[in-house]
Amino acid sequence: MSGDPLIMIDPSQLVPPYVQIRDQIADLVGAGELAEGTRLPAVRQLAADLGLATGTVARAYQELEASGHVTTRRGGGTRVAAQPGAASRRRAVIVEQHAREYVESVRRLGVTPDEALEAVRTAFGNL
Amino acid sequence: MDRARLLRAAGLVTGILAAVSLIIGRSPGIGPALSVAALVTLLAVGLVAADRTVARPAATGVRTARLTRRRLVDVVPLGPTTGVVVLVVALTGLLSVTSAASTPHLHSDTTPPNPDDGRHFGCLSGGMAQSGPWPGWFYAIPVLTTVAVAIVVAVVALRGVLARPVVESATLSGDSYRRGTASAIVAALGVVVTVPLAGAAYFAYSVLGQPLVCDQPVAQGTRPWLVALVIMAATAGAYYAARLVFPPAAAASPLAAVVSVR
Repeated sequence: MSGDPLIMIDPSQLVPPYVQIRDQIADLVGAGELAEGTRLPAVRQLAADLGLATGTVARAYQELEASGHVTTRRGGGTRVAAQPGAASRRRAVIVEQHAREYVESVRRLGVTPDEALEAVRTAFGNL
Repeated sequence: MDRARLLRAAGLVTGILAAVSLIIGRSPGIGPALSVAALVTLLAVGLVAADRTVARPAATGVRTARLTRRRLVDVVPLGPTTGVVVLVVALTGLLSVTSAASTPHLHSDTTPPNPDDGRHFGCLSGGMAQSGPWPGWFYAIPVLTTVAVAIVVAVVALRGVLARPVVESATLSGDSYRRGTASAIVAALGVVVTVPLAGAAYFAYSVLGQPLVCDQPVAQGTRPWLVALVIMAATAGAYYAARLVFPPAAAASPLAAVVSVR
């Protein structure tokens, strides 16, 4: 099994699939998990693997290009663009942002910090 | 034998039988020109039917995919593919020479005259009409066109295989599926090329050996080379046929892109 990054699509989420793809790849690029110059899968391949229309993946790639995360060249495919700042600092910022979103969600449900941390440990254990 | 192998074998056997039936007994009619097209069609039907035995994941629920770019060079077997290229060059070269060598047969002693119709070899004066087709341009054009179409179709199919997700099991991974299927496609292409190569070399050898086609025997020095070409093409054809039915087990690849469906 390869150690290449995974992306996940959950149709039950309210967020459209192209946004899920865009945000996950943007996080991977920002955190340095996808190094500069890494070539992303072809639109057709990723769409087939995820059971999506090619237009959905193409739109995610277009938005990633517009936001400066990737570059696309004719015949050269889609590659990860150079990102400003240290990868470790960007990674910490992304993790902190996701943690803040998680905490805000569970606080609305009245979850205690211990319960929230236990849920995170369980989720990691289930991966 | 599993179902996929059985279907590929069925395509191979029916394709070869159809090709041979179109050649035998129709000398020198249109049959040999269509034999390769029949072979390509039935091989393709066998490959597509075999491919349909591998399930695609349902596009429902949570899906994951690895961000790994899959490339043709990672799944196409290098040696057999190089062999196919060599065989295509040999077939093109042989048919170019035999096409250029096809002649009218205007003054046969025993049969009506033939114009330069691309399927005869003989002398402008004297001699007897040949027995069996000469692989001239009449056959070379449709055969080479069919091979060219088969190559294009094979490349399109290989690109489709790269993008094709599969339902993985204990015995089948996405990587092993792609490597096995790519190997079978290349092997089918090998069969498609070796059959007309062996046939053209054999008929050229046969016609050149007929004693009364010309007043004086011509190009006799090429006959041992044609025999060698027939043997080489038949051996290569058997090798590719075996690979078509029994693609080698896929080696684990660090580039494997695995798709899982939960």
